[in-house]
Amino acid sequence: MNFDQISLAEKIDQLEQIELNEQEETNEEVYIKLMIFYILSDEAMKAKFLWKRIPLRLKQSNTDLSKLWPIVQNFVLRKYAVAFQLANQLTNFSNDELRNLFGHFTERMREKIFSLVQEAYSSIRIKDLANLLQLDEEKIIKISMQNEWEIDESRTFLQPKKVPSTEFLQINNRLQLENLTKIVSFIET
Amino acid sequence: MESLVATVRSLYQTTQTETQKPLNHQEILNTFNTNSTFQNETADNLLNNLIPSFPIPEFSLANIIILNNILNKVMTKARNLNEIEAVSNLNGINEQKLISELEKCLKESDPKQIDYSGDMFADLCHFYTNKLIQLNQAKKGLLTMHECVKKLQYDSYSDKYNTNQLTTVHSDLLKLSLSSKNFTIGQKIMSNEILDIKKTASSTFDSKFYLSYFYYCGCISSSLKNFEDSLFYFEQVLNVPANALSQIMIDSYKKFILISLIYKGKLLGLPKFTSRKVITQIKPMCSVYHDLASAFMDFELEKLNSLCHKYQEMFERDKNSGLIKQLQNAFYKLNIQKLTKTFITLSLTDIAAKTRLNSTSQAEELILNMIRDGEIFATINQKDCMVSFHDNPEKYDNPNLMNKLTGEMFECIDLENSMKKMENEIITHPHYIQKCQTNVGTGIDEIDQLLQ
Repeated sequence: MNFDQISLAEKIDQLEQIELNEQEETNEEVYIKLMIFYILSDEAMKAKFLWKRIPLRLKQSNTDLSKLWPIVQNFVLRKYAVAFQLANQLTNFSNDELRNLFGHFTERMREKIFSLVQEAYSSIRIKDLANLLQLDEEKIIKISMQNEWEIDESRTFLQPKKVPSTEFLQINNRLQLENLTKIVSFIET
Repeated sequence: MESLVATVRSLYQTTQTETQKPLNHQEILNTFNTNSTFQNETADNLLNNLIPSFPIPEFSLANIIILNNILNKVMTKARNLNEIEAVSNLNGINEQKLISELEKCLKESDPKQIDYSGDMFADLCHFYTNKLIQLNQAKKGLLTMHECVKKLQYDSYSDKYNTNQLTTVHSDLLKLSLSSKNFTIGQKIMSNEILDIKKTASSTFDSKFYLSYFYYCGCISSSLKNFEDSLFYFEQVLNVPANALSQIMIDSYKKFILISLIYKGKLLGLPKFTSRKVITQIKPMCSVYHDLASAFMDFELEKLNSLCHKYQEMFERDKNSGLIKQLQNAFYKLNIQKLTKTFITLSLTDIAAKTRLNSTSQAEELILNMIRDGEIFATINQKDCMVSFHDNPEKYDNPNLMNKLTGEMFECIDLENSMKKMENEIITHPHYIQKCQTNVGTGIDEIDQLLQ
């Protein structure tokens, strides 16, 4: 997970540099990728300002960017149901790389919202979850079973399983000792 | 004019043969100032004929002086224009050419020669920024201005670039960032802590640039919703030692009030060392904002909404309408947070009623978003339509927290070291030693000894 985040930050850095260097001649693809990466790394405000500064000619109604924006906008506003609904409808892309990136993007966002629900709800209606993620109810039930959620007798409510957070950084003992020595020697002087 | 070119070039020539001797910048400045043909020549002529004779980066200083002269001649002298209006009408010159020559000069000048030019280089930067904003082309100037900031941070004595030094061009760079809505470079600049201000014998530092730098930092942080940082920056504007109130301080204080309500739910006080004069004068100027604050903290939704509606025009003029909308949303969040202190579980209908929301689904959505942002710890039970509030699950016993803590401790250690360095610089400064000696026997010296 951490490795993913580091390389995401690097990719964002590279694309931002390209935007600054190329100014008005920046490719539409750069903007599309940048916008998707901003949402994936939880920087919704930057995505919003990116849209505001994109030149008008790229925002015309026949560009990929103009079709992507309503989806991104709804993620920024946290209207997940609308966002996923629009995402389901968006299938045309000018090239394969963007299509794959977009597919990965929607998959990842669904995972995020799913884990948010897992954290926030102790029971949720199947219908509501299906609406939130814009997936079929059978698929929802299948994914929930895979994550060891429980389903009640009337088959209307799901009970998410609480997963304790096990993400711990490895302890490097030598580094810890080094840090401790520096701090103590500072206090002693 | 040819004689002028020849004289200046010869002054440069002498330094090239004797590389030990620094450039005689005073002589170059005098040559330009005393030459009457140069002073009386039209700006257009200077731009087309004289500038090409001094290519950059070799003859940067000459170029800077000539460009400065051109700008003084073409800018309108009317006193009541703001800085953007003042650059809009340039008399008798090809604007495109001027801007491209200016850009070349700013990008490629030699930092050593810039150091000799005093305020002139910074003035060129200010003009360039204002012109780009007036032409709505702010994005073009971002990389150029970033280069200029780095060049101005060059110190010819130590031959090093001091990245923690504040220059007058910092605020220009942030102004361009805000105008072009591109905060990439702006954030890089903001991440450098300011430990010093660029002020030499030949250059000045107007307080306006200090205040506007921190004001723009605050604006950028609050646009990106880093409210903690933006509060810090606005506070910096307000606690500058001051004998008079600046408009920038008033604008900062208004934003400070709104952001402290949105982020902390209460009106934060200013630090004790804020100038008395600032505090007494600023509060009457922002009385509407104080009324908003008291309505917000007293949980009076109708009063808050009516104030927001009544003074809508004023908020638009102050460019605070976005923050006002966020304030109205924050009202509900704050009240949910208050409920967590009193209840362990509460039904969704009760939550909606107590926080004056319109429906339970709205309440559920708000709570879900607050859980996502880490603003409360709760679980929603849709089956029973109840919400259970929990305590912060952080037990402070994991390596993540340890790393964070050691990181912050090292920051404090670094700060202490730079404070010690500054103290050493002052104590060994001849002026200070002189003052200490003149104060011998007046009682100040004894107090100093007692304090040690």
